[in-house]
Amino acid sequence: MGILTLENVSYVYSPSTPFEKEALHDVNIDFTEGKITGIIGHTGSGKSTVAQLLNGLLKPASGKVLLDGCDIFDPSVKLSDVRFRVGLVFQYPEYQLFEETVFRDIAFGPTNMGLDEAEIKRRVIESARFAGLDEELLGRSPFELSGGQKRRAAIAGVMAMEPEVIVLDEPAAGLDPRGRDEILSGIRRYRDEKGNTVILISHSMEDMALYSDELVVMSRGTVLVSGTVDEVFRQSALIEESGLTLPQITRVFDRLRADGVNIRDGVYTVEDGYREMLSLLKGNTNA
Amino acid sequence: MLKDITLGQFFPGSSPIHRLDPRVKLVLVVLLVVLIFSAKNIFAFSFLVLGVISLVLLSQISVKVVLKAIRPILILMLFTAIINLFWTKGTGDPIFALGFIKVWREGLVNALFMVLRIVSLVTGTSILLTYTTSPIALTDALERLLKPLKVIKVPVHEFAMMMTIALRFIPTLLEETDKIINAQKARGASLDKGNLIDKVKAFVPVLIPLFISAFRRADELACAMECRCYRGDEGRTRMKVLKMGEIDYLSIVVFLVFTAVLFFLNTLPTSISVR
Ligand SMILES: Nc1ncnc2c1ncn2[C@@H]1O[C@H](COP(=O)(O)OP(=O)(O)OP(=O)(O)O)[C@@H](O)[C@H]1O
Ligand SMILES: [Mg+2]
Repeated sequence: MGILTLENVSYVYSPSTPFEKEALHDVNIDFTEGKITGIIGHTGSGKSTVAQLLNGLLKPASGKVLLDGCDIFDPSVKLSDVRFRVGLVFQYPEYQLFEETVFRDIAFGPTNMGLDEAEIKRRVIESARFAGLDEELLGRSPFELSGGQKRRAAIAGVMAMEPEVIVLDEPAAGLDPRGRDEILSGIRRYRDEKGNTVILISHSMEDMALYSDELVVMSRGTVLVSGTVDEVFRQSALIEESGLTLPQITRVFDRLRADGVNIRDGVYTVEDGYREMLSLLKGNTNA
Repeated sequence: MLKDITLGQFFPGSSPIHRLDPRVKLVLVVLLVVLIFSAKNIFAFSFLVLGVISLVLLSQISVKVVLKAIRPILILMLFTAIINLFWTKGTGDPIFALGFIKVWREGLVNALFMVLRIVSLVTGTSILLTYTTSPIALTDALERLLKPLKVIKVPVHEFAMMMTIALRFIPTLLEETDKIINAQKARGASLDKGNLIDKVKAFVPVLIPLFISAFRRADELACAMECRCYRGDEGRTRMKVLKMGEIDYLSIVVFLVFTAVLFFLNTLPTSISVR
Protein backbone atom coordinates (compact mmCIF):
# COMPACT_ATOMS: atom_id res chain seq x y z
CA MET A 1 0.00 0.00 0.00
CA GLY A 2 1.21 3.51 -0.85
CA ILE A 3 1.67 6.49 1.39
CA LEU A 4 -1.74 7.98 0.70
CA THR A 5 -4.81 5.98 -0.16
CA LEU A 6 -8.42 6.73 -1.01
CA GLU A 7 -10.63 3.78 -0.11
CA ASN A 8 -14.14 3.64 -1.60
CA VAL A 9 -14.46 7.38 -1.21
CA SER A 10 -17.64 9.19 -2.18
CA TYR A 11 -18.28 12.89 -1.79
CA VAL A 12 -21.47 14.92 -2.05
CA TYR A 13 -21.60 18.74 -2.21
CA SER A 14 -24.45 20.49 -0.36
CA PRO A 15 -26.10 17.25 0.80
CA SER A 16 -29.88 17.27 1.38
CA THR A 17 -30.48 20.59 -0.34
CA PRO A 18 -31.90 21.25 -3.81
CA PHE A 19 -28.29 21.79 -4.94
CA GLU A 20 -27.09 18.34 -3.90
CA LYS A 21 -24.37 17.06 -6.20
CA GLU A 22 -22.43 13.83 -6.01
CA ALA A 23 -18.92 14.82 -7.06
CA LEU A 24 -17.17 11.52 -6.37
CA HIS A 25 -18.50 8.01 -6.41
CA ASP A 26 -16.62 5.05 -4.93
CA VAL A 27 -13.13 6.27 -5.74
CA ASN A 28 -10.10 4.09 -5.02
CA ILE A 29 -6.64 5.51 -5.56
CA ASP A 30 -3.31 4.42 -4.14
CA PHE A 31 -0.49 6.95 -4.31
CA THR A 32 2.99 5.46 -4.34
CA GLU A 33 5.63 7.00 -2.11
CA GLY A 34 8.31 9.05 -3.85
CA LYS A 35 6.55 9.03 -7.21
CA ILE A 36 4.89 11.78 -9.20
CA THR A 37 1.32 10.69 -9.73
CA GLY A 38 -0.74 12.62 -12.24
CA ILE A 39 -4.49 13.00 -11.91
CA ILE A 40 -6.08 13.88 -15.18
CA GLY A 41 -9.68 14.30 -16.24
CA HIS A 42 -12.20 16.42 -18.03
CA THR A 43 -13.54 19.63 -16.42
CA GLY A 44 -15.82 18.75 -13.53
CA SER A 45 -14.60 15.17 -13.24
CA GLY A 46 -13.76 15.64 -9.56
CA LYS A 47 -10.01 16.27 -9.54
CA SER A 48 -10.11 19.28 -7.25
CA THR A 49 -12.49 17.45 -4.96
CA VAL A 50 -9.98 14.62 -4.65
CA ALA A 51 -7.26 17.15 -3.87
CA GLN A 52 -9.23 18.63 -1.00
CA LEU A 53 -10.09 15.21 0.38
CA LEU A 54 -6.42 14.27 0.52
CA ASN A 55 -5.55 16.77 3.24
CA GLY A 56 -8.82 16.66 5.10
CA LEU A 57 -10.33 19.95 3.94
CA LEU A 58 -13.33 17.93 2.82
CA LYS A 59 -14.63 14.93 4.69
CA PRO A 60 -15.72 11.98 2.58
CA ALA A 61 -19.44 11.14 2.67
CA SER A 62 -18.36 7.51 2.83
CA GLY A 63 -15.07 5.68 2.59
CA LYS A 64 -11.68 6.49 4.05
CA VAL A 65 -8.60 8.57 3.38
CA LEU A 66 -5.55 6.75 4.70
CA LEU A 67 -2.23 8.47 5.31
CA ASP A 68 0.47 5.89 6.07
CA GLY A 69 -2.34 3.49 6.80
CA CYS A 70 -4.12 5.73 9.35
CA ASP A 71 -7.56 7.15 8.71
CA ILE A 72 -7.05 10.93 8.76
CA PHE A 73 -10.47 11.46 10.29
CA ASP A 74 -9.73 9.13 13.17
CA PRO A 75 -10.29 11.09 16.40
CA SER A 76 -6.73 10.33 17.49
CA VAL A 77 -5.25 12.03 14.41
CA LYS A 78 -4.81 15.79 14.52
CA LEU A 79 -6.02 17.35 11.32
CA SER A 80 -3.47 20.16 11.53
CA ASP A 81 -0.71 17.53 11.47
CA VAL A 82 -2.28 16.00 8.40
CA ARG A 83 -2.24 19.42 6.71
CA PHE A 84 1.48 19.77 7.44
CA ARG A 85 2.19 16.31 6.10
CA VAL A 86 0.01 16.68 2.99
CA GLY A 87 0.54 20.08 1.40
CA LEU A 88 -2.06 21.36 -1.03
CA VAL A 89 -1.57 24.02 -3.68
CA PHE A 90 -4.99 25.10 -4.88
CA GLN A 91 -6.09 25.74 -8.40
CA TYR A 92 -5.23 29.42 -9.08
CA PRO A 93 -3.40 29.85 -5.76
CA GLU A 94 -2.41 33.47 -6.47
CA TYR A 95 -5.27 34.85 -4.40
CA GLN A 96 -3.98 33.46 -1.12
CA LEU A 97 -0.97 35.82 -0.91
CA PHE A 98 -1.35 38.38 1.84
CA GLU A 99 1.94 39.25 3.55
CA GLU A 100 4.02 42.39 3.17
CA THR A 101 6.82 40.63 1.36
CA VAL A 102 7.07 37.54 -0.73
CA PHE A 103 9.58 36.15 1.75
CA ARG A 104 7.16 36.44 4.65
CA ASP A 105 4.36 34.98 2.61
CA ILE A 106 6.36 31.89 1.74
CA ALA A 107 7.36 31.70 5.40
CA PHE A 108 3.72 31.65 6.56
CA GLY A 109 3.40 27.85 6.41
CA PRO A 110 6.76 27.03 8.06
CA THR A 111 6.04 29.65 10.75
CA ASN A 112 2.73 27.96 11.52
CA MET A 113 4.70 24.76 11.93
CA GLY A 114 6.72 26.42 14.69
CA LEU A 115 10.16 26.09 13.04
CA ASP A 116 13.09 28.27 14.10
CA GLU A 117 14.16 31.27 12.09
CA ALA A 118 17.27 29.83 10.46
CA GLU A 119 15.36 26.78 9.26
CA ILE A 120 12.55 28.95 7.93
CA LYS A 121 15.00 31.07 6.01
CA ARG A 122 16.69 28.04 4.51
CA ARG A 123 13.37 26.60 3.42
CA VAL A 124 12.07 29.84 1.94
CA ILE A 125 15.15 30.30 -0.20
CA GLU A 126 15.25 26.68 -1.25
CA SER A 127 11.57 26.48 -2.20
CA ALA A 128 11.75 29.79 -4.07
CA ARG A 129 14.49 28.19 -6.11
CA PHE A 130 12.40 25.09 -6.83
CA ALA A 131 9.45 27.24 -7.85
CA GLY A 132 11.68 29.29 -10.13
CA LEU A 133 11.33 32.55 -8.24
CA ASP A 134 14.28 34.97 -8.40
CA GLU A 135 15.80 35.64 -5.02
CA GLU A 136 15.61 39.39 -5.55
CA LEU A 137 11.82 39.15 -5.71
CA LEU A 138 11.64 37.87 -2.14
CA GLY A 139 11.86 41.38 -0.71
CA ARG A 140 9.02 42.73 -2.83
CA SER A 141 5.34 42.96 -2.03
CA PRO A 142 3.50 39.94 -3.44
CA PHE A 143 1.00 42.28 -5.04
CA GLU A 144 3.66 43.78 -7.27
CA LEU A 145 4.40 40.45 -8.91
CA SER A 146 3.14 39.32 -12.28
CA GLY A 147 0.50 36.58 -12.42
CA GLY A 148 3.06 33.87 -13.14
CA GLN A 149 5.38 35.08 -10.38
CA LYS A 150 2.48 35.12 -7.91
CA ARG A 151 1.74 31.53 -8.87
CA ARG A 152 5.34 30.56 -8.17
CA ALA A 153 5.28 32.35 -4.84
CA ALA A 154 2.13 30.46 -3.85
CA ILE A 155 3.66 27.12 -4.87
CA ALA A 156 6.82 27.94 -2.94
CA GLY A 157 4.64 28.76 0.07
CA VAL A 158 3.47 25.16 0.23
CA MET A 159 6.78 23.56 -0.77
CA ALA A 160 8.45 25.42 2.10
CA MET A 161 6.47 23.29 4.54
CA GLU A 162 8.28 20.29 3.01
CA PRO A 163 5.23 18.07 3.25
CA GLU A 164 5.66 14.35 2.73
CA VAL A 165 3.07 14.58 0.01
CA ILE A 166 2.49 17.71 -2.03
CA VAL A 167 -0.68 18.01 -4.08
CA LEU A 168 -0.67 20.60 -6.85
CA ASP A 169 -3.98 21.43 -8.50
CA GLU A 170 -3.28 22.66 -12.03
CA PRO A 171 -0.03 24.39 -11.10
CA ALA A 172 0.63 25.38 -14.70
CA ALA A 173 -2.87 26.38 -15.84
CA GLY A 174 -2.97 29.59 -17.80
CA LEU A 175 0.78 30.05 -18.14
CA ASP A 176 2.86 30.33 -21.28
CA PRO A 177 4.62 27.14 -22.49
CA ARG A 178 7.96 28.23 -21.08
CA GLY A 179 6.43 29.09 -17.71
CA ARG A 180 4.69 25.71 -17.66
CA ASP A 181 7.93 23.87 -18.29
CA GLU A 182 9.80 25.86 -15.68
CA ILE A 183 7.22 25.24 -12.98
CA LEU A 184 6.72 21.58 -13.78
CA SER A 185 10.40 20.79 -14.04
CA GLY A 186 10.94 22.69 -10.79
CA ILE A 187 8.40 20.42 -9.19
CA ARG A 188 10.22 17.40 -10.52
CA ARG A 189 13.54 18.68 -9.24
CA TYR A 190 11.90 19.14 -5.85
CA ARG A 191 10.82 15.51 -5.93
CA ASP A 192 14.22 14.29 -7.11
CA GLU A 193 16.13 16.16 -4.41
CA LYS A 194 13.72 15.68 -1.52
CA GLY A 195 12.31 12.31 -2.45
CA ASN A 196 8.83 13.50 -1.45
CA THR A 197 5.67 12.25 -3.06
CA VAL A 198 4.04 14.56 -5.60
CA ILE A 199 0.47 14.51 -6.85
CA LEU A 200 -0.03 16.59 -9.94
CA ILE A 201 -3.42 17.55 -11.31
CA SER A 202 -3.68 18.65 -14.90
CA HIS A 203 -5.73 18.78 -18.05
CA SER A 204 -2.80 18.32 -20.31
CA MET A 205 -1.89 14.84 -21.48
CA GLU A 206 1.38 16.19 -22.87
CA ASP A 207 2.47 17.56 -19.50
CA MET A 208 1.43 14.39 -17.78
CA ALA A 209 3.35 12.18 -20.17
CA LEU A 210 6.41 14.30 -19.63
CA TYR A 211 6.38 14.75 -15.88
CA SER A 212 4.54 11.96 -14.11
CA ASP A 213 5.45 8.38 -13.27
CA GLU A 214 1.92 7.15 -12.66
CA LEU A 215 -1.43 8.31 -13.89
CA VAL A 216 -5.00 8.31 -12.67
CA VAL A 217 -7.66 9.16 -15.22
CA MET A 218 -10.91 10.44 -13.77
CA SER A 219 -14.25 10.73 -15.46
CA ARG A 220 -17.54 11.92 -14.00
CA GLY A 221 -16.52 11.36 -10.40
CA THR A 222 -14.98 7.93 -10.81
CA VAL A 223 -11.56 6.54 -11.63
CA LEU A 224 -11.51 5.36 -15.22
CA VAL A 225 -8.00 3.88 -15.42
CA SER A 226 -4.89 4.07 -13.31
CA GLY A 227 -1.38 2.71 -13.49
CA THR A 228 1.96 3.68 -14.96
CA VAL A 229 1.95 6.17 -17.82
CA ASP A 230 2.51 3.37 -20.28
CA GLU A 231 -0.29 1.19 -18.92
CA VAL A 232 -2.75 4.05 -18.97
CA PHE A 233 -1.93 5.38 -22.42
CA ARG A 234 -2.41 1.94 -23.92
CA GLN A 235 -6.09 2.20 -23.03
CA SER A 236 -6.59 4.83 -25.67
CA ALA A 237 -10.22 3.92 -26.38
CA LEU A 238 -11.21 4.40 -22.74
CA ILE A 239 -9.36 7.68 -22.50
CA GLU A 240 -10.91 9.20 -25.58
CA GLU A 241 -14.31 8.15 -24.32
CA SER A 242 -13.78 10.24 -21.20
CA GLY A 243 -13.43 13.36 -23.31
CA LEU A 244 -9.63 13.52 -23.16
CA THR A 245 -7.24 12.94 -25.98
CA LEU A 246 -3.88 11.22 -26.00
CA PRO A 247 -0.86 13.45 -26.56
CA GLN A 248 -0.74 14.78 -30.10
CA ILE A 249 2.55 13.06 -30.83
CA THR A 250 1.08 9.71 -29.80
CA ARG A 251 -1.81 10.22 -32.16
CA VAL A 252 0.53 11.16 -34.99
CA PHE A 253 2.55 8.00 -34.42
CA ASP A 254 -0.56 5.82 -34.12
CA ARG A 255 -1.74 7.17 -37.42
CA LEU A 256 1.62 6.58 -39.08
CA ARG A 257 1.66 3.04 -37.78
CA ALA A 258 -1.86 2.50 -39.10
CA ASP A 259 -0.56 3.66 -42.48
CA GLY A 260 2.05 0.95 -42.38
CA VAL A 261 5.11 2.91 -41.24
CA ASN A 262 7.31 0.69 -39.14
CA ILE A 263 7.61 2.54 -35.82
CA ARG A 264 7.10 1.41 -32.27
CA ASP A 265 4.13 2.41 -30.14
CA GLY A 266 4.37 3.94 -26.69
CA VAL A 267 5.63 7.31 -27.85
CA TYR A 268 4.16 9.95 -25.55
CA THR A 269 6.51 12.89 -25.61
CA VAL A 270 7.79 15.02 -28.45
CA GLU A 271 11.34 14.30 -27.31
CA ASP A 272 10.70 10.57 -27.63
CA GLY A 273 9.03 11.03 -30.99
CA TYR A 274 11.92 13.08 -32.26
CA ARG A 275 14.40 10.34 -31.41
CA GLU A 276 12.19 7.65 -32.87
CA MET A 277 11.74 9.63 -36.06
CA LEU A 278 15.46 10.25 -36.32
CA SER A 279 16.36 6.58 -36.01
CA LEU A 280 13.66 5.73 -38.54
CA LEU A 281 15.05 8.22 -41.06
CA LYS A 282 18.58 7.00 -40.46
CA GLY A 283 17.40 3.46 -40.93
CA ASN A 284 15.83 4.43 -44.24
CA THR A 285 18.93 6.15 -45.60
CA ASN A 286 21.09 3.25 -44.48
CA ALA A 287 18.94 0.80 -46.32
CA MET B 1 -19.46 25.84 4.34
CA LEU B 2 -20.22 29.51 4.19
CA LYS B 3 -21.87 29.15 0.85
CA ASP B 4 -24.63 27.03 2.29
CA ILE B 5 -26.17 30.09 3.92
CA THR B 6 -29.25 30.68 1.83
CA LEU B 7 -29.48 34.28 0.83
CA GLY B 8 -32.82 35.53 -0.28
CA GLN B 9 -35.07 32.60 -0.82
CA PHE B 10 -35.91 32.79 -4.45
CA PHE B 11 -37.25 29.54 -5.88
CA PRO B 12 -37.22 29.81 -9.66
CA GLY B 13 -40.38 28.60 -11.34
CA SER B 14 -42.98 29.41 -13.94
CA SER B 15 -46.20 29.57 -11.96
CA PRO B 16 -48.67 32.42 -12.61
CA ILE B 17 -47.26 34.18 -9.54
CA HIS B 18 -43.72 33.88 -10.85
CA ARG B 19 -44.83 35.40 -14.11
CA LEU B 20 -46.47 38.45 -12.58
CA ASP B 21 -44.83 41.78 -13.24
CA PRO B 22 -42.68 42.50 -10.16
CA ARG B 23 -44.09 46.03 -9.98
CA VAL B 24 -47.60 44.62 -9.72
CA LYS B 25 -46.41 42.20 -7.07
CA LEU B 26 -44.84 44.97 -5.02
CA VAL B 27 -47.99 47.06 -5.09
CA LEU B 28 -50.22 44.08 -4.39
CA VAL B 29 -48.10 43.13 -1.38
CA VAL B 30 -48.54 46.56 0.12
CA LEU B 31 -52.28 46.37 -0.46
CA LEU B 32 -52.41 42.86 0.95
CA VAL B 33 -50.83 44.08 4.17
CA VAL B 34 -53.52 46.75 4.42
CA LEU B 35 -56.20 44.13 3.81
CA ILE B 36 -54.79 41.82 6.45
CA PHE B 37 -55.15 44.55 9.01
CA SER B 38 -58.62 45.56 7.88
CA ALA B 39 -60.17 42.14 8.39
CA LYS B 40 -62.44 42.43 11.40
CA ASN B 41 -64.71 39.43 11.82
CA ILE B 42 -64.79 35.69 11.39
CA PHE B 43 -66.18 35.90 7.84
CA ALA B 44 -63.55 38.34 6.66
CA PHE B 45 -60.76 36.32 8.28
CA SER B 46 -61.94 33.04 6.79
CA PHE B 47 -62.07 34.70 3.39
CA LEU B 48 -58.58 36.11 3.89
CA VAL B 49 -57.12 32.77 4.88
CA LEU B 50 -58.80 31.24 1.83
CA GLY B 51 -57.16 33.90 -0.31
CA VAL B 52 -53.71 33.26 1.15
CA ILE B 53 -54.10 29.51 0.70
CA SER B 54 -54.99 29.98 -2.96
CA LEU B 55 -51.91 32.17 -3.34
CA VAL B 56 -49.74 29.35 -2.00
CA LEU B 57 -51.41 26.85 -4.31
CA LEU B 58 -51.06 29.14 -7.32
CA SER B 59 -47.34 29.70 -6.66
CA GLN B 60 -46.61 25.95 -6.67
CA ILE B 61 -44.26 26.46 -3.72
CA SER B 62 -44.36 23.43 -1.46
CA VAL B 63 -46.14 23.77 1.86
CA LYS B 64 -43.00 22.57 3.59
CA VAL B 65 -41.11 25.64 2.38
CA VAL B 66 -43.89 27.93 3.57
CA LEU B 67 -43.87 26.31 6.99
CA LYS B 68 -40.13 26.91 7.11
CA ALA B 69 -40.77 30.62 6.65
CA ILE B 70 -43.21 30.59 9.54
CA ARG B 71 -41.00 28.69 11.95
CA PRO B 72 -38.73 31.62 12.95
CA ILE B 73 -41.73 33.69 14.02
CA LEU B 74 -43.36 31.00 16.16
CA ILE B 75 -42.11 32.69 19.32
CA LEU B 76 -43.55 36.02 18.22
CA MET B 77 -46.86 34.33 17.49
CA LEU B 78 -46.92 32.63 20.85
CA PHE B 79 -46.10 35.88 22.60
CA THR B 80 -48.83 37.79 20.76
CA ALA B 81 -51.34 35.08 21.45
CA ILE B 82 -50.58 35.03 25.18
CA ILE B 83 -50.76 38.79 25.53
CA ASN B 84 -54.07 38.95 23.72
CA LEU B 85 -55.42 35.99 25.61
CA PHE B 86 -54.79 37.34 29.10
CA TRP B 87 -54.88 41.07 28.68
CA THR B 88 -58.14 41.46 26.78
CA LYS B 89 -60.94 42.35 29.15
CA GLY B 90 -64.36 41.31 27.93
CA THR B 91 -67.88 42.02 28.98
CA GLY B 92 -69.81 39.43 30.95
CA ASP B 93 -68.28 36.50 32.79
CA PRO B 94 -64.82 35.12 31.99
CA ILE B 95 -64.86 31.64 30.46
CA PHE B 96 -61.90 30.64 32.56
CA ALA B 97 -60.63 31.98 35.83
CA LEU B 98 -57.82 30.94 38.15
CA GLY B 99 -57.00 33.43 40.85
CA PHE B 100 -56.20 36.70 39.16
CA ILE B 101 -55.86 35.07 35.74
CA LYS B 102 -59.05 35.54 33.82
CA VAL B 103 -59.70 34.70 30.21
CA TRP B 104 -62.65 36.16 28.38
CA ARG B 105 -64.17 34.92 25.18
CA GLU B 106 -63.04 38.15 23.50
CA GLY B 107 -59.45 37.43 24.47
CA LEU B 108 -59.59 34.03 22.83
CA VAL B 109 -60.99 35.53 19.64
CA ASN B 110 -58.40 38.31 19.59
CA ALA B 111 -55.53 35.87 20.13
CA LEU B 112 -56.74 33.65 17.31
CA PHE B 113 -57.16 36.55 14.90
CA MET B 114 -53.78 38.08 15.70
CA VAL B 115 -52.05 34.77 15.03
CA LEU B 116 -53.98 34.45 11.78
CA ARG B 117 -52.84 37.94 10.81
CA ILE B 118 -49.19 37.18 11.43
CA VAL B 119 -49.34 33.91 9.52
CA SER B 120 -51.09 35.50 6.55
CA LEU B 121 -48.69 38.42 6.61
CA VAL B 122 -45.59 36.25 6.46
CA THR B 123 -47.04 33.73 4.04
CA GLY B 124 -48.51 36.38 1.76
CA THR B 125 -45.38 38.51 1.50
CA SER B 126 -43.00 35.60 1.09
CA ILE B 127 -45.15 33.92 -1.55
CA LEU B 128 -45.75 37.10 -3.49
CA LEU B 129 -42.27 38.53 -3.15
CA THR B 130 -39.27 36.67 -1.80
CA TYR B 131 -40.07 33.14 -2.96
CA THR B 132 -41.24 33.97 -6.45
CA THR B 133 -39.33 37.11 -7.43
CA SER B 134 -35.61 37.20 -8.13
CA PRO B 135 -33.80 39.92 -6.19
CA ILE B 136 -32.75 41.47 -9.47
CA ALA B 137 -36.34 41.73 -10.71
CA LEU B 138 -37.28 43.22 -7.37
CA THR B 139 -34.71 46.01 -7.50
CA ASP B 140 -35.72 46.66 -11.08
CA ALA B 141 -39.34 47.04 -10.04
CA LEU B 142 -38.36 49.26 -7.12
CA GLU B 143 -36.42 51.50 -9.44
CA ARG B 144 -39.41 51.86 -11.73
CA LEU B 145 -41.84 52.52 -8.94
CA LEU B 146 -39.58 55.07 -7.26
CA LYS B 147 -38.77 56.87 -10.49
CA PRO B 148 -40.99 59.85 -9.67
CA LEU B 149 -38.62 60.61 -6.78
CA LYS B 150 -36.03 61.68 -9.34
CA VAL B 151 -37.87 64.96 -9.57
CA ILE B 152 -36.64 65.76 -6.08
CA LYS B 153 -33.11 64.65 -7.01
CA VAL B 154 -33.09 61.23 -5.37
CA PRO B 155 -30.57 59.11 -7.37
CA VAL B 156 -33.00 56.23 -7.77
CA HIS B 157 -31.19 54.59 -10.64
CA GLU B 158 -27.82 54.65 -8.91
CA PHE B 159 -29.25 53.14 -5.76
CA ALA B 160 -30.93 50.39 -7.72
CA MET B 161 -27.74 49.70 -9.65
CA MET B 162 -25.71 49.51 -6.46
CA MET B 163 -28.19 47.13 -4.96
CA THR B 164 -28.20 44.93 -8.05
CA ILE B 165 -24.41 44.75 -8.10
CA ALA B 166 -24.24 44.02 -4.38
CA LEU B 167 -26.79 41.24 -4.70
CA ARG B 168 -24.96 39.82 -7.67
CA PHE B 169 -21.66 39.66 -5.82
CA ILE B 170 -22.75 38.25 -2.48
CA PRO B 171 -22.54 34.61 -3.59
CA THR B 172 -19.30 35.27 -5.46
CA LEU B 173 -17.63 36.80 -2.43
CA LEU B 174 -18.89 34.05 -0.15
CA GLU B 175 -17.44 31.45 -2.46
CA GLU B 176 -14.18 33.35 -2.58
CA THR B 177 -14.01 33.60 1.21
CA ASP B 178 -14.49 29.88 1.38
CA LYS B 179 -11.66 29.28 -1.06
CA ILE B 180 -9.26 31.60 0.73
CA ILE B 181 -10.05 30.09 4.12
CA ASN B 182 -9.31 26.64 2.70
CA ALA B 183 -6.10 27.78 1.07
CA GLN B 184 -4.81 29.29 4.31
CA LYS B 185 -5.89 26.27 6.31
CA ALA B 186 -3.85 24.17 3.92
CA ARG B 187 -0.86 26.27 4.95
CA GLY B 188 -1.52 25.48 8.57
CA ALA B 189 -3.43 28.61 9.56
CA SER B 190 -5.64 27.89 12.57
CA LEU B 191 -8.65 30.12 12.43
CA ASP B 192 -10.47 29.05 15.54
CA LYS B 193 -7.92 28.76 18.31
CA GLY B 194 -6.96 31.06 21.16
CA ASN B 195 -8.69 34.10 22.57
CA LEU B 196 -10.57 36.77 20.67
CA ILE B 197 -7.49 38.78 19.74
CA ASP B 198 -5.76 35.66 18.42
CA LYS B 199 -8.82 34.85 16.37
CA VAL B 200 -9.00 38.33 14.88
CA LYS B 201 -5.30 38.16 14.07
CA ALA B 202 -5.75 34.75 12.54
CA PHE B 203 -8.24 36.23 10.11
CA VAL B 204 -5.78 38.69 8.63
CA PRO B 205 -4.56 36.11 6.07
CA VAL B 206 -8.17 35.72 4.97
CA LEU B 207 -9.28 39.34 5.03
CA ILE B 208 -6.38 40.84 3.10
CA PRO B 209 -6.74 38.62 0.02
CA LEU B 210 -10.50 39.00 0.24
CA PHE B 211 -10.38 42.80 0.25
CA ILE B 212 -7.83 42.84 -2.50
CA SER B 213 -9.92 40.63 -4.67
CA ALA B 214 -13.08 42.62 -3.89
CA PHE B 215 -11.36 45.84 -4.90
CA ARG B 216 -9.93 44.21 -7.97
CA ARG B 217 -13.38 42.97 -8.95
CA ALA B 218 -14.90 46.39 -8.37
CA ASP B 219 -12.21 47.92 -10.49
CA GLU B 220 -12.66 45.42 -13.29
CA LEU B 221 -16.41 45.76 -13.19
CA ALA B 222 -16.23 49.56 -13.35
CA CYS B 223 -13.85 49.27 -16.26
CA ALA B 224 -16.05 46.78 -18.06
CA MET B 225 -19.10 48.98 -17.54
CA GLU B 226 -17.28 52.01 -18.82
CA CYS B 227 -16.03 50.10 -21.85
CA ARG B 228 -19.63 49.36 -22.68
CA CYS B 229 -20.43 53.04 -22.38
CA TYR B 230 -22.38 52.89 -19.16
CA ARG B 231 -23.18 56.42 -18.09
CA GLY B 232 -26.03 56.07 -15.69
CA ASP B 233 -29.69 56.29 -16.39
CA GLU B 234 -29.54 58.71 -19.30
CA GLY B 235 -30.81 57.19 -22.52
CA ARG B 236 -30.42 53.66 -21.18
CA THR B 237 -32.73 51.02 -22.57
CA ARG B 238 -33.38 47.68 -20.99
CA MET B 239 -32.96 44.14 -22.08
CA LYS B 240 -35.94 43.01 -20.04
CA VAL B 241 -38.58 45.68 -20.44
CA LEU B 242 -41.20 45.31 -17.76
CA LYS B 243 -44.52 45.11 -19.49
CA MET B 244 -47.90 44.56 -18.00
CA GLY B 245 -49.67 41.62 -19.58
CA GLU B 246 -53.10 40.04 -19.37
CA ILE B 247 -52.15 38.12 -16.28
CA ASP B 248 -51.18 41.34 -14.50
CA TYR B 249 -54.43 43.13 -15.31
CA LEU B 250 -56.36 40.03 -14.38
CA SER B 251 -54.65 39.76 -11.04
CA ILE B 252 -55.36 43.41 -10.29
CA VAL B 253 -59.04 42.90 -11.05
CA VAL B 254 -59.15 39.75 -8.95
CA PHE B 255 -57.48 41.57 -6.13
CA LEU B 256 -59.95 44.46 -6.30
CA VAL B 257 -62.89 42.06 -6.27
CA PHE B 258 -61.30 40.28 -3.34
CA THR B 259 -60.95 43.57 -1.48
CA ALA B 260 -64.57 44.49 -2.14
CA VAL B 261 -65.84 41.13 -0.91
CA LEU B 262 -63.66 41.34 2.19
CA PHE B 263 -64.99 44.76 3.11
CA PHE B 264 -68.52 43.55 2.54
CA LEU B 265 -67.94 40.54 4.83
CA ASN B 266 -66.56 42.92 7.43
CA THR B 267 -69.98 44.56 7.69
CA LEU B 268 -71.90 41.32 8.34
CA PRO B 269 -73.22 41.09 11.87
CA THR B 270 -71.50 38.49 14.02
CA SER B 271 -70.38 38.24 17.59
CA ILE B 272 -67.02 36.71 16.64
CA SER B 273 -65.02 39.79 15.74
CA VAL B 274 -61.97 41.74 16.78
CA ARG B 275 -62.66 44.48 19.21
N1 LIG C 1 -18.44 23.92 -3.84
C1 LIG C 1 -19.17 23.16 -4.65
N2 LIG C 1 -20.50 23.05 -4.49
C2 LIG C 1 -21.25 22.27 -5.30
N3 LIG C 1 -20.74 21.52 -6.31
C3 LIG C 1 -19.43 21.58 -6.52
C4 LIG C 1 -18.56 22.40 -5.71
N4 LIG C 1 -17.30 22.24 -6.16
C5 LIG C 1 -17.37 21.40 -7.19
N5 LIG C 1 -18.64 20.99 -7.41
C6 LIG C 1 -19.08 20.04 -8.45
O1 LIG C 1 -18.40 18.82 -8.25
C7 LIG C 1 -17.92 18.30 -9.47
C8 LIG C 1 -16.43 18.08 -9.40
O2 LIG C 1 -15.79 19.33 -9.26
P1 LIG C 1 -14.21 19.51 -9.21
O3 LIG C 1 -13.95 20.93 -8.83
O4 LIG C 1 -13.63 18.45 -8.35
O5 LIG C 1 -13.83 19.28 -10.74
P2 LIG C 1 -12.38 19.34 -11.44
O6 LIG C 1 -12.14 17.99 -11.99
O7 LIG C 1 -11.39 19.93 -10.52
O8 LIG C 1 -12.66 20.34 -12.64
P3 LIG C 1 -11.67 21.43 -13.30
O9 LIG C 1 -10.78 20.71 -14.21
O10 LIG C 1 -12.59 22.33 -14.05
O11 LIG C 1 -10.97 22.14 -12.19
C9 LIG C 1 -18.33 19.28 -10.54
O12 LIG C 1 -19.45 18.75 -11.22
C10 LIG C 1 -18.71 20.54 -9.81
O13 LIG C 1 -19.80 21.16 -10.43
MG1 LIG D 1 -10.32 21.68 -10.48
